[in-house]
Amino acid sequence: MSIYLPIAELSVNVFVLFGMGIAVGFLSGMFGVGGGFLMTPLLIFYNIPPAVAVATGTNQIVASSVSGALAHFRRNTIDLKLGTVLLAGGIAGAALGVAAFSFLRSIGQLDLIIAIMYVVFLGSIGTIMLVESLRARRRVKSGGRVDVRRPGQHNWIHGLPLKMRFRKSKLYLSAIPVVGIGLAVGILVSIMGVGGGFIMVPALIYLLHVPTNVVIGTSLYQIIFVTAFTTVLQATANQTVDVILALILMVGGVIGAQFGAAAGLRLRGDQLRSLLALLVLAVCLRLAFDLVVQPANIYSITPVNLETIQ
Amino acid sequence: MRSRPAIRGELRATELICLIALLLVIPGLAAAQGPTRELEAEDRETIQMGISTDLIPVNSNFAGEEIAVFGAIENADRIAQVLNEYSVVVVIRGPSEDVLVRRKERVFGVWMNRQARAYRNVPSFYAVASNRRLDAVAPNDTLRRLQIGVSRLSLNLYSAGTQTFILPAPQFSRSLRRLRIENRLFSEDSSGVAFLGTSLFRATLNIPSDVPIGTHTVTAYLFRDGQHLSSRTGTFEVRKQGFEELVWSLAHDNGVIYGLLAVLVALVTGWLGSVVFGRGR
Repeated sequence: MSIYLPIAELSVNVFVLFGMGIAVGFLSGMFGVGGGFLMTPLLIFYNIPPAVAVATGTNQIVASSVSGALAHFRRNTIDLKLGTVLLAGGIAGAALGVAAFSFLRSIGQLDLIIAIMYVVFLGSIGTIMLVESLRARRRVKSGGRVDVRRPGQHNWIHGLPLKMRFRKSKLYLSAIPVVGIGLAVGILVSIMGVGGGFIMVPALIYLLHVPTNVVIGTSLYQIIFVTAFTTVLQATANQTVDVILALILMVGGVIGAQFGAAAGLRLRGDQLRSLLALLVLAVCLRLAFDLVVQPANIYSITPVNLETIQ
Repeated sequence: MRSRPAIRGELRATELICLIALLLVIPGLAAAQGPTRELEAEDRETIQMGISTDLIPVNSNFAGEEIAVFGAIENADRIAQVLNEYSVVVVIRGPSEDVLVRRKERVFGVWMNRQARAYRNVPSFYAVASNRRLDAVAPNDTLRRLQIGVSRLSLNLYSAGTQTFILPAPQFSRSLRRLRIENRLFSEDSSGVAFLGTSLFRATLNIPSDVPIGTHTVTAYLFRDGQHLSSRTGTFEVRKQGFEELVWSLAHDNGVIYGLLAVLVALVTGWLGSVVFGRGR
């Protein structure tokens, strides 16, 4: 059954999109990730214009983060204060990102930058995860105890001014790195159409030493607001949010996540992480391949308004 | 012969006389005047045309459509009909737009957009149907003047002055035509017009699902011996309708409200998801 997407302005198969939503939702439920980094490339592979894929992706992430954040809220595993400070940076980052997005789109380099950012981020994170999970697996096999690294309690971050107390995280640290992380992730959210959890979570754990039990909830909490803000900005500045497309993906994603979460319980942590790493690397390779192999069409047509160029 | 008969029955009788007269006259005329035929204005063949619809609604299950153009040749010459000398060409032209044609080049191993050319007033949609190949319809000059045929469509290069042009523009305009053909936005169909009987014709043209929104003009041209005799123009509208129209116009006129609604939809969907599935947690 085909459906006409009013903003993307093309007719697509609704079952393919729904299936994509379920598949990505399944994986995100299984691995406990947002799935934006899979959804946006998949949409691009399915010939949705990258600008629409990215902006619609952020809209879809709002939905997939809400259920997760609600669960964490009930379990009281969100540091609202830390999340709100992150959010302040995130909003600024998203605004910067959307401005960059509009600019890159006008000079015709948006698709390239999106692809390069995906290759760089997916490639590095996939590699780190794979190496880490293989090490963990070796330790499990050799019977050694899984060593919990105690990160150094003090580093340069703790010397920064503007200190704040984050009670739930049991932290007393400067607002500057918190806002900075929020800002960096906000830029990624708006340009890549992701939630940014895959950067946010490691940054909170390794840079700020936020306790792991509140990391995911806090990250999800601020993702909702940053992606919601980005959606509104994209809709205003670029008119690239396709609400029909987003709705199909949301419904598929919410359903898929339930089955994924159930499937995830049957796998060991290191197995899950190595599988996720391989998946991330596969998407990365596919995007990298498209960048370096001569495209079928080296020419492309973009409607413009020549009056505004002058 | 001076006053045009209104009823077909009468036409037949007069046509017969006309035919006999022409039979006698034409060889002499052709010999005397060469390729230029002289016909009295009232006797000239004209083309009549009607479009199957004046509105193509684009809604959620729109997957393209076929548009039919019906018409007739009036004052048709019997001999020309018998000898199949008439050519009918139907052209649909979508709203004009300015486009940028970009060319990718390899930079440090990565393919990226480098050079670009701007073209003004390019039809966003262009379809030609004819009853024979276009090069058999009329000479190139005539077709070019009438803007008939994808390859004869003039593309107006627009130079911004700031760009350094290294590659010649023909590669760009060729690619513009080729890409539009691949996307089914430019098309030619040399069997798209069929005669029903002798003077009635029917043209069918495919409207793809990504047809541009706006007013499209339809022109039917009549040719004989490579000469353009007559043409008629009509229009039809492609318009988003119902929900699609609402979504699109809201997105473009009220981006903030649209964005807020999109967020609301997401919040409700996510919340519903956790209500429906989240009980067990």
